[in-house]
Parts: sequence; structure tokens; C-alpha cells
Amino acid sequence: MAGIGAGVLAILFPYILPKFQLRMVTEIIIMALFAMTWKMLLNEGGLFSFGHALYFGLGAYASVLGWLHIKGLSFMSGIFLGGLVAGLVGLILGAFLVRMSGTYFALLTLAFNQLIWAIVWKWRDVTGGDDGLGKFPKPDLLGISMKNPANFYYVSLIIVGICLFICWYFTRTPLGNVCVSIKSNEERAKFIGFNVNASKLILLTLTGFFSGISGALYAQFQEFIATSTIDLGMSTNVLFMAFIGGIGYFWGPLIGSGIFVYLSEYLSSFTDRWEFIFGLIFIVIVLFAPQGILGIVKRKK
Amino acid sequence: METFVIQFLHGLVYGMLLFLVSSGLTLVFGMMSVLNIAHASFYMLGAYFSYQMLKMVGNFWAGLIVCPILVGFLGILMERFLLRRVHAGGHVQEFVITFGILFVINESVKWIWGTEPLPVPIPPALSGSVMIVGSIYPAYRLFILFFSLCVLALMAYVLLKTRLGITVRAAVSDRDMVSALGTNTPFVFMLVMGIGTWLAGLAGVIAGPFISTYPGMALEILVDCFVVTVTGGLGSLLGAVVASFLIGQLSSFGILFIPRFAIVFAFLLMAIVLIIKPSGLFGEKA
Amino acid sequence: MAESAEKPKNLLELKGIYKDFEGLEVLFDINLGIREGERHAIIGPNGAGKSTLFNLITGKYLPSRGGIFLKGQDITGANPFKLNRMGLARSFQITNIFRTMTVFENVRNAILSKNKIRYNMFSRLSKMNGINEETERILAQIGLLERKNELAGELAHGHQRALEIGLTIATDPELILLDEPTAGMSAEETREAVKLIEQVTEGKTLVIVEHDMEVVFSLANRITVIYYGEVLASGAPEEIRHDQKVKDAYLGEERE
Repeated sequence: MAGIGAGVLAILFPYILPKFQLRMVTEIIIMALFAMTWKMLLNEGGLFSFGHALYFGLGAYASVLGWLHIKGLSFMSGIFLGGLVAGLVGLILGAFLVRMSGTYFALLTLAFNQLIWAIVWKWRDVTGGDDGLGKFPKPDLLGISMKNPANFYYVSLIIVGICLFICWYFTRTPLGNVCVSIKSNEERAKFIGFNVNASKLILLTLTGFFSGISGALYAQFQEFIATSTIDLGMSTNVLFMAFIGGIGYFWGPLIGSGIFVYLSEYLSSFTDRWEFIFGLIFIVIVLFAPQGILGIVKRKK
Repeated sequence: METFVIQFLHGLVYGMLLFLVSSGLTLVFGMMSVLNIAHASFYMLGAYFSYQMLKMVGNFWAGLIVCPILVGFLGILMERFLLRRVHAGGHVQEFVITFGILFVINESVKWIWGTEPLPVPIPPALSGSVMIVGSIYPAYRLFILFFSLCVLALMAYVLLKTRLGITVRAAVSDRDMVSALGTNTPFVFMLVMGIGTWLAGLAGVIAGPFISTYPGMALEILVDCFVVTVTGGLGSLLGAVVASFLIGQLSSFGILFIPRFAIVFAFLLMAIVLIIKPSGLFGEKA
Repeated sequence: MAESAEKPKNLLELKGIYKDFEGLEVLFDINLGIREGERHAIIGPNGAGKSTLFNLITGKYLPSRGGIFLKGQDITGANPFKLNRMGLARSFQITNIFRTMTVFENVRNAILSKNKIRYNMFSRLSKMNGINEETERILAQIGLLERKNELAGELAHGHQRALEIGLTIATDPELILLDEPTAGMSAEETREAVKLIEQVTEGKTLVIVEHDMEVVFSLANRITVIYYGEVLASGAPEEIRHDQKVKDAYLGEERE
């Protein structure tokens, strides 16, 4: 029931919310997809990604470079390009990373994130360095102007909705089941005949793809990207979003994304040191609410 | 030839500094299976404490003794009041909480000392230069080198010759055995964390006059530190030594040849090592 | 090479296996051949090396010397999932089930794998009727059909052990390795377990490590005794029962 209510609200938002709020909701939806992929990696793959901004950022840069340099690249093609590039990197890196145990994996994701970030930063000719890239085309989608915030909101809602549906559906497929069983008991999963590495690799590729899509959407949303799209800060943000919402719950990332966007918006007007608050929240959550907000809600029931 | 020797020295100095920072991290992981992401911020605290001490007392050497102990003490507090409650929850929780601590410390430092780099003067005794193969080489850098070698020698001695050291080595290679030995694990954890962060703080104090103190120093050394420990093998001090040396040299010569992307070399090394041996050069768990 | 043209004599073959851990020698010159259809028990005192042997066969450890062959193919150090696909399955002494999944989901995992459904991203699990039916058949066989929606981690010990066996046989393996399946069971539970094992391993090759002599003598048609890392004796149960070396070393001691 709450779902239908939320769905109706979602459709009505452009009509009831002021422009600024609508923008925030759009950002929340886009980031929710990003956070969802991170959570999926942990929940279904048992993989803790410290450098998830890598895929998000690559998706953003790939799509923007596409719009800048490929004449006539359509909106959807650009988004798709972002997803594709990120997914490809997920596949290639994943082939290497998949053999690593938990801690090594986490550290390596951080290392690669930093590596690509450094390259993006130094390769000014292509990426604009820390000046970033702006002024790229915002093509119409099927004749509808994407510059209209309401239109952009609906399109984001649909795209993210489809991706989220795929993520949800994944858990109900045999492959999703393999991933869940690997998380439950990796050793036994192997002896049952499941190729653990291959399954993890597929998951890494998929989450890379979806992260890239959200990165590309984010690029169009901001109409500007810079190294902050792919740096450690962004990797931390997604950690925050997934955690505070509750990593054990499907809608956790959406709640977390909402909290993150609102918090960073209002906190940064208070103080420059809002990252301090974030760090504090991390500590508090782990100590008192490891299952996030949704965990608290479920407990109260 | 001259350039080669100087670059080699540069690499050695940086490598030893890296080792000093990474040793604490890998020690803690080896003994406790905990990856302390906040480790780099303890390094930074060492530098800032030293700066502060220099301002108040004016003596670098006093700082060298006192500040690492302060940092180590903070590490013990962190373990006792924050980490201890989280060990049972698994690695994910440990990661996240140490991440939070990293941020809190980072931001606290900015709050207290501001965001501008704060120069730490080289102690007068070491402010000269030395002639090496016809080039002038700062004496302080040589001090870093020798000091780190001394710490390494001390560590080697403790680990190889003392009873404490033997217990530590046994614990690293077989964690179950430790509880069988009847040692008080929570106490041991606090001690180990204290020593690990003490080492980080020590490295920070030493690094201060070399690179000055600035809020970004934690994050900058964080990745290099991780690369070193992963390449060397998490938990292996020998691995940390070898990896630090290699990466120090790679960075030094890399900057010479391809300044813009010198960082790539360290990653390449790490990738190559891990492809051949997924647990690092001397790592145990494959 | 002429051998590859004909079916190898032994389904599972251990040739000249030595294993040492950091200088501590655990297994010496183990030569063992298991024929198809055989029901082979490996017995020996604790610490004699039986678990190590199992772990060697299933690729967890590499032997210091020697090779292990399944259907003539070298499986030394092979990845567990490859072993499974070659028809080898093992159970674990310490129950190794999917604790966070239901009993039904546990067995279904094995059934899915058996039917080679592993990378399918498109079908809905709940609608795969053939799979669900097969799963229920196995559940009925191991007596857990009524508990199919219970969490595996919350089952009573005896039921967990039954599930353990169920997981092992559900992929329809040719060679079944059981690692002390009746460990920690009461006399009643043991009898049930033996009946179950007999049923589900009918027509297959069975290798079982056990301490309980009654279980051994009721299930096995060949017995190998491992004593301090060496094969002390190997042969039919009656031979082993009367073997003097064995009596002196092992059967004479009181076993719980």
C-alpha cells in the first residue's frame, strides 16, 4: 500500500514541488541507483567496494566525452555509452579482482579508483583535469526537451526505475540465487558446482554497468562533471548512502540517498566541516544501528 | 651516474618513510586481522602533534619521543571504545567505522589547525647538507633513512629474538593458537593497536620536516600505504620492507622519466605481483 | 597412454601420496584405488591423517608428492566446482550447509547446479516447476519435506546432518565422499543416518571416513586403515576384522 502511495507521489512531484526540491528529488533518484549497485555488490557478491566511484565517474566521463565529440549522439545513446564503458571496465578489472579475498579486494578497488582518478586529473587535454567538463549537449529525447526539469525528472525516474527493477528481478533468478548461496556459504557453493569467480564477475560487470548509467545521468543532471565525480569522496558518499539506509533492505539505498542529498545540502550551508558529521554518523551507525535507518524502523515494529 | 645515485637515495628515503607508515598497518592486520583505514590519519596526527609541540616547547627531539606515544594512546582508546565492539560484526563494520574515524580525525585536524600547510622546521642539528657523489644532499633526508633503518632493526630484533616477538610471529601465522596460549586477547589487541598507531605517529613526526604538515597528507599516504601493504602481503613486515623499497625506487625514477603518470608504476607493480601471487609477495592467506 | 582408450580400472586413484605441513609429515606413500560401485570406508585413530586425505582429494591441499586421479584424469588440487561437475561430491564433518537459506533453497541449489542452470538471469526461480519438483523429491528422501521452509541454520542437529547428506547427493554424483556423517549423533540418529546413506548411495561409489565401527561394518565392502599417516591394511571387512596389525593398533582401543 505504501508502495502505491509512493508511486502516486512520485508521479505528482513535478506538480507539487518547487523547482529546487524537484531537483533534489531527481538527484536522490539518480544516486539511489548508484547506491543500489554498491549494496548489491556487498549483499549478493559479498564484495566490499571501496572505490565504487570509479564506475560512476567513468560512466559520467564516457558519456560526456561522447556527447562532446560524437556529433549527434542522442541522449539515450550517451547514457548507454556511459553504462557500457563502466561495465566493460567492471569486466576487465573484475577478472583480476575476483580472485582476491575480501580485504585485498576492498583495498584494490580503492587503489584502482585512485589510479584512474589520478589519470583523469592529469589528463587535462581530454578530461579538463580539475576544471572539469561542462557545456556539453543536452539532446532531446524523442523530441522532448531534457532541459525541462520535469521532463528530466520523469526520464530519470523511468530509467532508474527500470534498472532497479532489473536489480530486484536479479535476486529471483537462478544467477541471483547462485550469488546468494555464495554469500551464505562460499565453500559449499563451490562443492555444489557453482563457479564462484564467474558469478562474482558477472555481478561486477552488471553493477559497473548500472553505476555507469547513474553516472551518465548525473552528468546531465549537473550539466558539469569534474574530478569530484570519480574521487574518493564520491566513493565515500555511496558508502554512506548504502549504509545509512540499511544494507540489508531493498529500499535502503533510496532512503540513504535521500538522507545524503538533504544532509549534504543543508549541512554545507552550516559548516565547511560537514564531512566531520558524516564521519561521526558512520561511527554512530556502526555502533548503534548497523542495519541503518530501515533496520531501526523494522525493530520498532 | 650522479643522478642515478641521488635518485636512488630519494627512492630509499621515500621508501623507508613508506615502510615506517605501513609497518604499523600491516602489523595490526597480521595480528588482529583488522584493516585500520584510519591508520593514515594517525600518521597525520603525529605530524601535527609534533608541529604543535615544536611551537610550544621548541624541541624536536622531545616531540619525537612524546608525540608518537600520544598517538599510540589514542589508538588504544580507539580500539578499546570503538573497535572492540565491532570486531564480532565482521570486516564490513570494521571498515566502515575506521573510515568514519579517518574522516573525523581529518576534519578535526582542519578544525584545530586550519587548512593551510604548516611548515615544520628541520631540527638545527640536522639542517645541514652532506656531499654525496659530488651533489649536495640534505642531511635530514639521510636522518630519515637512518632512523627508519634503526626502527626496522629494532623491530627485527624484537620479533626474532624476544619472547614477545616470537609470540607475535606465532599469532600472525596461526590465530587460533593465540587463544590456546591463554593470552588475554582484548588486552593484546589494545597493545597491538597502540604499537601500530605509535609507529604511524612516529612516521608522522619524522615526515613533518620533510613534507610539512597539511590536511591532505593522510589521504595522500593512504593509498601508497595500501599499495605497499597489499603488494608486500597483508600481515608481512618483510613484505612491507621489500614493497616499500621497490615502490620508493619506482616513484623516484618514475618521476624522472614520466612525471605525469609516475603513480602508475606503483600500481603496475602491485598488479603484476598480485597476478602471480594473489596474496602479495610474502602474504599468507591465498 | 593406451589406458585412456579403455575405462580406467579405478574410479578414484591415489598414487604415491605424501603430504607434509611445514616439515611435519602427515601422510606417507598412500596408494589407494577405489573401484566403481565400491563402498569403501577409511578408518583410523584421530590425527592419523584421514581428514587430510579427504582434503587432498577435494583439492583443498596439494600433496607434497604424488597424484590423484578421477576417472583417469588428474584432479590433484582441482577447484571444487570442477570436481563436482566431474561427478564428485563430499559432505563435511562440521555441518557445512547454507545456514541463512531455507531447507528448500538449500537442496534447490544442488538441483539447479545438477541441471546446469547456473548463469540464467532471465527465468524466475519460483516458476521453475521441474526444479521445484525434483527438489521436493530429494527433500522427501532425506525426510525434510515438512521442514522445507525452515531456516537451515535453525534445524536440530540431526536434521542438519540429514540436510548435509542431502546436499551431497542431490547433484547426483558418481563418487560420494562422506566425512564422518554420524559425528555427534545418538544411537537412534546413527541408525537412521545409516539407513538414509544406504538408500541415497545405492548404485554409486561411496568413500566414507568414520569412527563408529558399527556404521563401518554395515556400510562398507572394503576398508582401509590409516595409522599415523600410512596405510596399515586394506581389504574386505572380514580380513580387516581379523588382521592382527589392525587389532593391535586400533580396534583394540575403546572408541566412543
